[in-house]
Amino acid sequence: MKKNHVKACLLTILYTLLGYSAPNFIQTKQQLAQNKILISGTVTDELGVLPEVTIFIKGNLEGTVADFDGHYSIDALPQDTLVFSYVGYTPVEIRIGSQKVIDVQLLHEVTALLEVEVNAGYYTVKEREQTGNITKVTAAEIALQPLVSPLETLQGRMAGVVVNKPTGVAGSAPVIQIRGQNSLRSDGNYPLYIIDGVPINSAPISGSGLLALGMDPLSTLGLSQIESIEILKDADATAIYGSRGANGVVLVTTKKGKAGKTKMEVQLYTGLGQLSNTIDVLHTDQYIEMRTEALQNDGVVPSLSNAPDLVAWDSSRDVNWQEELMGETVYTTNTQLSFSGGSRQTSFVLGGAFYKETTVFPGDFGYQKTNGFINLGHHSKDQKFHLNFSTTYGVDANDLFYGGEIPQTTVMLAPNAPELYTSEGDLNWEDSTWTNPLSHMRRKQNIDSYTLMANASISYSFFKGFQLKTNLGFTRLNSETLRIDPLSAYNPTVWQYVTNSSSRDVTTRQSYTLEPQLLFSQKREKLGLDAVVGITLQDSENTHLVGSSDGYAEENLIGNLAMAENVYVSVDEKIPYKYQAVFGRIGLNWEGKYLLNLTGRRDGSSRFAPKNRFANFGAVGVAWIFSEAKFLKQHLPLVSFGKLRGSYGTTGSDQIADYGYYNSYEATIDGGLYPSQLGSPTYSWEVNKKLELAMSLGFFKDRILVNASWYRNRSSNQLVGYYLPAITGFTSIQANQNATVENRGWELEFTSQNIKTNDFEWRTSFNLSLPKNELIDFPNIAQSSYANTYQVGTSLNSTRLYESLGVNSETGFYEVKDVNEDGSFSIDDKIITKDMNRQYYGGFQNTFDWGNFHFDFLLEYVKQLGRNHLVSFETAPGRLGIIGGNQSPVVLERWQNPGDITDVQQFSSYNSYTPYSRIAQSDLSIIDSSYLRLKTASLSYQLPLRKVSDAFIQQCRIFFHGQNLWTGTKDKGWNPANNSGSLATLPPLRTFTLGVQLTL
Amino acid sequence: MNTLYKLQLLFYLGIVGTLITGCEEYVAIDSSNSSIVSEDIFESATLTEAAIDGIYQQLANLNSFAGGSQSSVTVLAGLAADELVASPYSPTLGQFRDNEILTSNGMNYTLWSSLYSIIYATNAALEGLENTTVVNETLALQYQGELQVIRTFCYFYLVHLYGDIPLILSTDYTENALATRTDSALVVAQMETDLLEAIGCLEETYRTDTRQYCNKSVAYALLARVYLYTEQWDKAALFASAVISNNSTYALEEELDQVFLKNSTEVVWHLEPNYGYTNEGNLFILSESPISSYINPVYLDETLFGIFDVEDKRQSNWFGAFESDAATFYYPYKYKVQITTGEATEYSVVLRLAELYLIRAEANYHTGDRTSALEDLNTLRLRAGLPIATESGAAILTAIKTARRKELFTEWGHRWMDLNRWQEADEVLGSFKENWQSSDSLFPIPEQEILSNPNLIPNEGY
Repeated sequence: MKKNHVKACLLTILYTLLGYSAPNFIQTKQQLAQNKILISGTVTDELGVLPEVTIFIKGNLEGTVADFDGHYSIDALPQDTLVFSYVGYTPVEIRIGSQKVIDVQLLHEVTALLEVEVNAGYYTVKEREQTGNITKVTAAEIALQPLVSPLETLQGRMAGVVVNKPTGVAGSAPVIQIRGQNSLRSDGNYPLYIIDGVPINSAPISGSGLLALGMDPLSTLGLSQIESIEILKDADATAIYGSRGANGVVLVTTKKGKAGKTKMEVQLYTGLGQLSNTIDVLHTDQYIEMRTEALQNDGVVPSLSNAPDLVAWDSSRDVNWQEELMGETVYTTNTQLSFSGGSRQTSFVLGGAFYKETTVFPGDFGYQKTNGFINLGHHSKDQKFHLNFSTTYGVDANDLFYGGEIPQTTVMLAPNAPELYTSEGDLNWEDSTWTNPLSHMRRKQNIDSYTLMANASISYSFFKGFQLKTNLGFTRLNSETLRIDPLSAYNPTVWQYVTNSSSRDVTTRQSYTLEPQLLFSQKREKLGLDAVVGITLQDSENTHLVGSSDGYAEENLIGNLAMAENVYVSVDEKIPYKYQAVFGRIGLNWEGKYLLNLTGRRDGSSRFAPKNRFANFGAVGVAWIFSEAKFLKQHLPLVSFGKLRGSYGTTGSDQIADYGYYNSYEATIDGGLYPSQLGSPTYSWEVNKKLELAMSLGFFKDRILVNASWYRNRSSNQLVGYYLPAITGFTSIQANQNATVENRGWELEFTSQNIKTNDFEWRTSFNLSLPKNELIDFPNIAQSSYANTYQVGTSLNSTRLYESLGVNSETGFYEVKDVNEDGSFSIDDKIITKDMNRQYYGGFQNTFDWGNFHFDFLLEYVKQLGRNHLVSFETAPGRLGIIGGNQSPVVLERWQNPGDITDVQQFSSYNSYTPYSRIAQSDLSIIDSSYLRLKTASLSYQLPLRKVSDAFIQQCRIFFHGQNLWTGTKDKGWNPANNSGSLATLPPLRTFTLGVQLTL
Repeated sequence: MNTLYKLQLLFYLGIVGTLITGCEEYVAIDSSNSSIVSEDIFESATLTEAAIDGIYQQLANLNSFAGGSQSSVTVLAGLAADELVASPYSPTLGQFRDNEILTSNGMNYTLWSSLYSIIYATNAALEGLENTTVVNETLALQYQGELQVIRTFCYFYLVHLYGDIPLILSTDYTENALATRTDSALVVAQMETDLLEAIGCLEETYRTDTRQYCNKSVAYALLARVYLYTEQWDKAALFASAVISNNSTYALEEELDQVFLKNSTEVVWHLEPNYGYTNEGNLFILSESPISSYINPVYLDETLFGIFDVEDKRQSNWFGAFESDAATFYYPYKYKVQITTGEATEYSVVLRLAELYLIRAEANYHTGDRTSALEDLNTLRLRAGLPIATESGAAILTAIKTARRKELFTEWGHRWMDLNRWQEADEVLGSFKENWQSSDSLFPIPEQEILSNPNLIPNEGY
């Protein structure tokens, strides 16, 4: 039934289009019959002749193209108007009248801010006429940052977009959240990534150790290759992506060739970096005082088994382990080269880049990527046929170790812990009294990723206003991880029991897409109409192979499976995914004042059981440019632009496991079968209803632009890996939960051209987001598995805590309130709820141009709560835990004698665990983790070269760039941006780079 | 002209239409290459056998309560009693040793969930067998019996470690997710029913040449243990005898280093390890100081070594020692292979004849047959190289209790459950451990379980 309905709709749309446009062709053809005269002339620009300019008669498709010397000739009627146009130049219109020779000079186009074309995926729209919420950053704003992940460059630049890099390891995936968490599942909140029209799986590639949060699937893309990144936020912008648009859409557009002189561009930079933060810990005298006092308090005599740090280790050593193990200078180099050029009809860019970054760890570790790209564009002389082809191939190599314990171990290692090496240069095990931290670094992990992305777009305009277009895309990512566990990483006393071993993890993700579309565009008197209708077919296949091997005779043979004694394969899976859709859009524009945009999509996905595979999504967006109204123009001349807009619609999400809908068994290692999944065939799409209202204002001829939006997104029919108690045999099941998560908030964007004179220009931009996440509805939550995890009326990222009673001045131990006085501590006693989401955040950017100098900086600010040392150190002060025993200096204020009033409990190794772990789950562990960070600052100088068109060096720019220069915060952890308090991650690097950009 | 344009349009419409119509089929995908739909398992005799096999393999798995690794009953109950000590580097294990187990303890959760995971698998297989037509009837009965024994085996530990626990006999997760705690008497009754039914189903002989698949004797042995714990002495003695008397199959090994071998005649039920060594051997045998070891974070409490007489062969044969410069650490050396890449020579022994002698001795003592009790006790003493016991009266019971501690140390949490069963935990552990409280005799229901099932209430004291 539904299928027929959609078909009928489509037919109606198409026939409407047909009926509407038909009279136009007839008129055009009739004009041909009349007499014409020959017009000729030359086209120039400020530098000389301009070849291959398009000349056509206004209101008519017919036209010609000037030759290489700028000459043209065309047949036209005296009442006709000629239009001269060339990419990058302002078109010129000249009415013929009695002229027979028309010479024209074209001027470089200066695009007003509001006239910038914004990519909306299946169509483009001028910023001025946008009905939806799309924000854009361009190459110039992001290209200089010494970063691996393209999306990391967006930090602080966009309202409503949180980009968080939980760990500062090169190649790790940034977490990007557009307008908050919609899904109850933490892995159901990835936005849709589209590169040049081709969707890329946005889930991080699984990693381990320091890369445990996953690797960035976009890391092989070069920053220099990106032309712009657009983020689609509201229903109007995202509904055309239907089931995949719920969490927003990230559109990456790569550089395209431009007609004109053949150019070579070179960019080189090199930089130095260090961790942007260190953690204060105790010195040896303080540490030993703590440990001695702890054992005294416990009444335990220090022995080799319970206190090697006191009994065996050299108490005169005082090592700064952070300096020793994570203090290396990071060297960054980047080289890129590109050639571009082309004729009027055909253009190209061909380029490549090489990026390398070492690490803060001692040893031969580092990250490097190499990539190459080609883009070709061609169109026929009559502009009817267009073809664009681009392809990118990127290779990255990430060489690190796989143990994730290093950052935390480094902080917590006793300051008097033994030497790393013996006098012979071997790892020192100090008579088996410790685990040498360098042993973790001997367990190497090499990850090589190869990504190919190719896409072609072919279009043909059969007759005026109609265009048939097809996008074809192919992407393949191949990531291979090899982890090496050599004997030399072990204490020699256990060598007889372990062997050289390794494990391997191979992931491939491959996807084909095909998107035939029919586009229609017509402007008739006051009404403009744009429409698209199309189909998407996507066929993906992911494979995953995990294996391990052991028994290698020699360390240098590890990894060569032929040399292994045993090889085990634990995972070898192939997961197909198929997706299809029909989509459409109709945009109406009345006099540039009233705008209406309708979008819709019908989606089908193989992730659902056959009965629930299809669903419909759609949105409506409206805008009124009220500054066009006469009364406003007369009475408020300061207001140069004013727009009110709103949108409402639905999007969805199918980010769930494949084959989740049936009960299944998997093979055990010995060839048996064991239940692996509990399935439910009934679940279907998650639905996200988005509402947005916004106003844009421009003042002083648009020198100041302000954009304020209010949004409310409600995500319901939540698809969750529903937690099950283990008594069911499983810990989760895929199901729709009748719960509603709301994300609402305000976003404010402000740009201003503060000063503009001939040789000085100062621009400021500012953004502010005030998000609010709330679980607004969850019927019968008390009877559900989520009874104790989420609370209606609070944020999904809120945490429930005990109420701290501080340190009992008699016993010296932490206490928390037993609210129900039942003698035990459970969730019912956790009566304090704290929202750990950002309360507000944004960025503040300034750009100065003075003569040939350019300076810009970006400040990022975030207001939020975080966790303190009680959570970070995980171990009670005085205890030597498995990760170490050092502590923050704040613990020195500990309780010592009955009657002491303090908020640090007594040092204790044996009796401290329970009170400590409870206090770590209390409000005493909450701190203000707000921060202000000078994210980037760059200074560049353009060499004053003579502007001659045939000069060898056209442009030369020298730049100096700083990243993460300063952070102001009360949070004493690694990085306030990661407010979990975890010490297991790395803070971002503070990097300075110096470079040069040349155009030849 | 007009017609031509219209024809072109119709052509596009044709393409679009065709694609839309063809679509519904498009999103169908092939079945997965790495899993099998549950319904298909019991449509095939081979797959059914593999599914039964899978349960046994899962029992021996590293994360299983029966796996002999860190989260196994053997280790965690051994720590909670007076057998094992945990490295200070391992706080999760330390909580068991200190009897200060947090509800969030990960080992406790692994222990709990692995028990219920096996229960689900047995329930699923029992449901599958009920409807199958492809497995022949004798074999189906045998499978059914094996599954009932395994399910009982799981419930035995659940009841004795956690007290009242949800009794789950189906695979319906919607119902099970909200299950409440069942009175442990009812759980024990179900265990008895299952074992009696299993006895009716199971063959006398083992299915293969090893003793890894349950036969009738396994059901007898487990039933004897269940009756011992419920103090039904006559029945306990009866079922223990049913195994002991089958001397063509079962006999005590003369040499102590033969007991845990794959071919041991003393074994009633053992599990084939996943690799060439048992997890017990891999964990217990010390190759580095347990104080700073990730691999071997547990060692024996030195008091245990002290209770053995010097001439007791078990002390010399079943104890290992690791000398570090300052201290000697003892470890259980019942399993001698720590790691090998070769074939397994040792299997993880679940039930062995020695335990049945001890069950019968204790049961007979209580029924008043003290001669038989002493006789069984002395059978084991003789093997250990000790003189025969001549105790009388209540001293016999004390001797049996000590014999259980010595014979069955670091096997399956016997000591912990015995102390609780004899109600001696307060007396023995109260003087032995600093923070002992009576409520410590039950492990806590894991926090995650309480969080995800509003009907589960925590154990007292947690």
